[in-house]
Amino acid sequence: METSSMSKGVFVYRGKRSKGGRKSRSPNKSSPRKIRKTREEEGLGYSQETWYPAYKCVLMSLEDQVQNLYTDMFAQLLENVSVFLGRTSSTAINEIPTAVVLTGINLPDHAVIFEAVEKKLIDDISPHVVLLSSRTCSTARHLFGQILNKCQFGDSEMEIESAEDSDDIETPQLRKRATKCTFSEISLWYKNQGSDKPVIVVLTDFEAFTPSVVEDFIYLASEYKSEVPVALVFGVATTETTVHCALPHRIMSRLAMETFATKNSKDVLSHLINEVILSSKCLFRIGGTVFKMLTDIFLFYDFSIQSFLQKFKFCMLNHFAKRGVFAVYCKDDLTVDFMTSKDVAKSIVPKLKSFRLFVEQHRGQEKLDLLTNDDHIKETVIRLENELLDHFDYFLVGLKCLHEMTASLPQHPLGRQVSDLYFEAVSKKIWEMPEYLKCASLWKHLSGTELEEQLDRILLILEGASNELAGLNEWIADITIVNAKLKRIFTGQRSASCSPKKQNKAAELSGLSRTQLQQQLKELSKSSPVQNKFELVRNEALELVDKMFRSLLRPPREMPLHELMLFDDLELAKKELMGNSRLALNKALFNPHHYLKCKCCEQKYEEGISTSFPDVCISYHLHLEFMKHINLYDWLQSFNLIVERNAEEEEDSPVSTETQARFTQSIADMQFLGFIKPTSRKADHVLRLTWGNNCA
Amino acid sequence: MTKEGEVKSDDCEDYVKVKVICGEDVEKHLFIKGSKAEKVHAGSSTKRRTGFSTASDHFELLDEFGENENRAPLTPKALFAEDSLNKSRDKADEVRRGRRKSVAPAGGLQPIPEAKEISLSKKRAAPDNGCDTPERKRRRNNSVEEEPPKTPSNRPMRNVDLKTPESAKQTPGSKRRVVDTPRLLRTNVKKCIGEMLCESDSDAISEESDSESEEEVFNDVKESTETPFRKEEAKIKIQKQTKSFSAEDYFDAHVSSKVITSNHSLRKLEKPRLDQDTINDALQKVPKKHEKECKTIFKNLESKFSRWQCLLLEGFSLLLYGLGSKASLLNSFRKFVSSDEDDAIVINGFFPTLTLRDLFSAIIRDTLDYAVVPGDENECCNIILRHFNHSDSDHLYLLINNIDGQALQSSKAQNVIARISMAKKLHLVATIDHINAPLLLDQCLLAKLNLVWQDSTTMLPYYEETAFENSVMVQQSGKMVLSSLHSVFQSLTTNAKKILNILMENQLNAQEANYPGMSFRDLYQEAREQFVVSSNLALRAQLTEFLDHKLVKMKKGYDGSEMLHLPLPPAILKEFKSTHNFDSL
Repeated sequence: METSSMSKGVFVYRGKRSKGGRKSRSPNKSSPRKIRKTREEEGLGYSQETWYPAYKCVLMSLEDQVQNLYTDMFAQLLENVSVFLGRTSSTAINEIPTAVVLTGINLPDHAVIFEAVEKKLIDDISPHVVLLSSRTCSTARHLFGQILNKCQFGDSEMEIESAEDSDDIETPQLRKRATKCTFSEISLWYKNQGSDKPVIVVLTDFEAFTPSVVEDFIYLASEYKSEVPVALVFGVATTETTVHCALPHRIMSRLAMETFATKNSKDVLSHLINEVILSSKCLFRIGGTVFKMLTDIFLFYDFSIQSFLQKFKFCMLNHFAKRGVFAVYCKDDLTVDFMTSKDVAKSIVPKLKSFRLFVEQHRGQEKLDLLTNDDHIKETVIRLENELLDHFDYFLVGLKCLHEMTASLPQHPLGRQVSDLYFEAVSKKIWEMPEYLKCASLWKHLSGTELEEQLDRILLILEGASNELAGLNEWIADITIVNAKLKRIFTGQRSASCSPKKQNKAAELSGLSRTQLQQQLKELSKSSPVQNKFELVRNEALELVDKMFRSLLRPPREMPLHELMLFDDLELAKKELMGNSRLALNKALFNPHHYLKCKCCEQKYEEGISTSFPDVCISYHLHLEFMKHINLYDWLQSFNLIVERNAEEEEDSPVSTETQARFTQSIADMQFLGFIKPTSRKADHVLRLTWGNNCA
Repeated sequence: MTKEGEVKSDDCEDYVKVKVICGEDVEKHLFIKGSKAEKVHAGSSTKRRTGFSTASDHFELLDEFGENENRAPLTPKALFAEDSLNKSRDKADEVRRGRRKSVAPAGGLQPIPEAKEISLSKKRAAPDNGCDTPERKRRRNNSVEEEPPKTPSNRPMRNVDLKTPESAKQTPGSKRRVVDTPRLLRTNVKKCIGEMLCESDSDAISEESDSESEEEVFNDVKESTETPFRKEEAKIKIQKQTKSFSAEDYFDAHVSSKVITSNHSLRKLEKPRLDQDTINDALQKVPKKHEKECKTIFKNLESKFSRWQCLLLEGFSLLLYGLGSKASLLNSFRKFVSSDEDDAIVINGFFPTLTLRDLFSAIIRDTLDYAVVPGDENECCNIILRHFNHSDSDHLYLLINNIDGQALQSSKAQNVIARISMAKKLHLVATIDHINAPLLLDQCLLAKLNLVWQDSTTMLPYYEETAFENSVMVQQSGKMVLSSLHSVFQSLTTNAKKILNILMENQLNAQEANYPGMSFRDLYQEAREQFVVSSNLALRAQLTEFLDHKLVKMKKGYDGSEMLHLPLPPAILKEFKSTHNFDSL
């Protein structure tokens, strides 16, 4: 093979284009750029696909929205930090202004936060902002070097480009590096610069820095304070006390610290879900199960918004790749519109399961038309797609209303978040779920004011969405009427002090003898309590709300053509996003038939080891029978027995060289896979690194 | 209406005759083969039933035959019962072949003079059956007397307990049976007896306790309490066969610290260890298994290439896992992408002496055409990131065989790879093989790598990956050392070669098993005599070079003098010596 060698481990293959690659970096940049652009347009295979623009468009809109969300979420924090640093760095105090930003444990997201911080600080306070990570600052010297480099050659990219441009034939120049890395160099540079803006040093991962390095830096910075004004930003993932623990008092006393907390990443996610993913603005609709998996990974594994978004993007890409042009994402852009009816009739659309079910529902001529009449099919498909898209918007509004009603209930039968509702409601009739019924029974215990508030909030939601969704107006009207009734009762009740009926009853009871009273009371308890006005209206309101949910929350997954809109391939997502290499490895070793699909290895588990197994599988099966230590000789003998079945009769039949070689190779494989390792406990023994099945 | 069915076996000596009475006067004799004479007596069972379905009744009957031995109670569910019956039959066969002697209980050796009876009543009416109770009782008592303490008679009781509580109150002996199809009964009885036989030897406790009829009821209680456990046992047995791992196994593997293994060693073989060449030669001769299937798998994987490329270009990295060497797959993918005019770098993570610098120099010097590769790895990363994040740059595919390999296992290497994989135009495909490889990846790495996992089991053997002589079974032939010795030797001066020769001669001539090495003084003496060196210092200078290249090792001897030796086995030294003509020096 071309990539096997006993003397080197790295193989470089230059593509055709880059063989003349030096030219592509020629000074007149226009031409290569043009070439490349045409190449992009020609496509790299997949970007040629017709669905790609649609995917790109949806992705862009998503990224824009996420960006906006981020800016909104972090605006307050950035403002606070910037104000603090601006205020303190201008005052002539001896201490170094230090902003401690509590970033949370979602490490992958920190880069985004600090990028925003850097941008904001450059805009607001000073152009000299240095972002440092512990990776590059193992010693104080390195740290100063980093600061100097970043300050002096801030826009280094341009420099390299220009160096390249000036001399084509020569290889690219490395960036000049500061040789003297001391604080006096920094102060010298600062003097030459001649500005009075502070130098802001951002330590992005404070916990990972060596405390002594930070100590030295702070000490020197406070000594040079008169020459170089320095401000610090610490990114702390855990708590503020880490700073106190890491730095001694004599250093801490040189800092003027203030703590700023970023938003909890869980809140950010729920915000993201509510504002972006579960809004009508997001053009990609994700299925309940997959969505639940993504949020579970977030909640139980990394709390990282970035990786959540990446996984979301993966789902999106797969959806578009699978459905191709038929992926329905936007009302104005239905591909079916542009296709001839014949193509539609032939395309995948009629093959979809949900569409077939839809056809099955019809009888007679209609059914025949749906099967044979191309024009009719196209019309139906367009109608269904529109319906689906429309309904999804209604569905989301319905979810938000339901969330209003359920979020404040005790024990949260339907979850706390809108997303919890979404997981279930998108594929099931939520009103048939026991949790919903429980909620419904809890609603009956709502007080008047609570109910009133909730109805008000639902009305707000509905009215907010009614501009685009005309179908909501009906519900708005109904709910307003009920709400008004409710309000009337309350105002009425407040004016009337006590119901006269009760008084009458009390009077009736007072004049009776004891037996009569007993009788009376018995009767009273038997007769069902008379519903008062409020209860009547409440029931009416609840019935109305329930009816609304039933109409709005019709599961999109049960509608025809839902496959084109919802991505619900949980199996794929699970397999490719989470991966289970151990399982795959063990499965392949234990039951090679699973992958090979050959007849010879097809058998049940009990039947043991087949001669036809690949060698490594035989060795694996045999090794399962051993305990912690394995005698190589014995192992080889049993291997020999299996491989040469005819040798079964004679004991200790000589092992042929071929068998030994095969065994050796399989052992080497096993060692490579990490199942065994050599041990010096006993001669010719290996240690088993896994456990299980050894008493079979 | 008397029906008589006989089940004859090949073994005429071992007959168990079972009388099946259908109705009062109808008897059925079943000759049932056992390994040794085995008496099955169901008469002691205590059952009176008023009506039962054929199937369930059938199995009840079988249970009776199974008596104490039949551990897993047979449920009336036909499916399960039939299954377990088949299984037990198989087992019985096995036992009959293998454990013949051990099976037979002591008392059961003599052939039985008269057939034992299993009374089965076809009639459903209970009362008239009461009349044969005394007789049966007698018979049972007889059987208890003459029989080995083999046949406990509690099973039917238990069965009744399980199924029809009210019938449990019936007096012992008042039992009736309906058998509709004698043939079925016969075969099933046969199976059951077989099962009994195979399990009888392991069921010593019940054998002992069941010898006396007075204890029946007591035993019943005992047994019925045991039933659930037995059921579980049977279940576990089945599970063990199908399921291979459970958490319990961990404790089995770790509780007993002392593991006893045999004292055999590979020395018993003709050639204890083969060297790599012999292995390769031998493997060439062996016909390859599943070549066709492997090719199909490979083709299926290749058909995914365009999707892989799509994922890569969208900013994901690929992680290929599964059994089998993926080197050829990566190579094939490399061809696929570089036919698309893009650069590609293949890195073998299993290569023992791979370093990060190799990676950097491959990218920075060979791909980006920089003259110098900076020493600082951060600098390198920055250059790479800056270049490949630029929208103008070309795509680069970084294909890493075994990202879990020795050389790349360090968190530093993993971090660097993850960092550069974040560049927009640099696309990473990595493979993992080690079973614990996923442990390398923490959440930061995962977020940076942005992985998409691909099951790419190829089922190909790891020839390349294991070729570096680090396996236990492979003879450490020293081929690698030899070749490095050759190459270093080529570049030595004549005098240095001579010094090496002196050392080698000395080592080869040494007879001792524990060769301590050649002392520095001796070497100097020798070298001076051959006019190789003129001063102590010059020799030291030469030796430094050897030591640097690890050709020679220096140890302090007992007397404090420096002892020099070549860290190679004599065979290799001889081979080395024969390839170079030292006399001509």
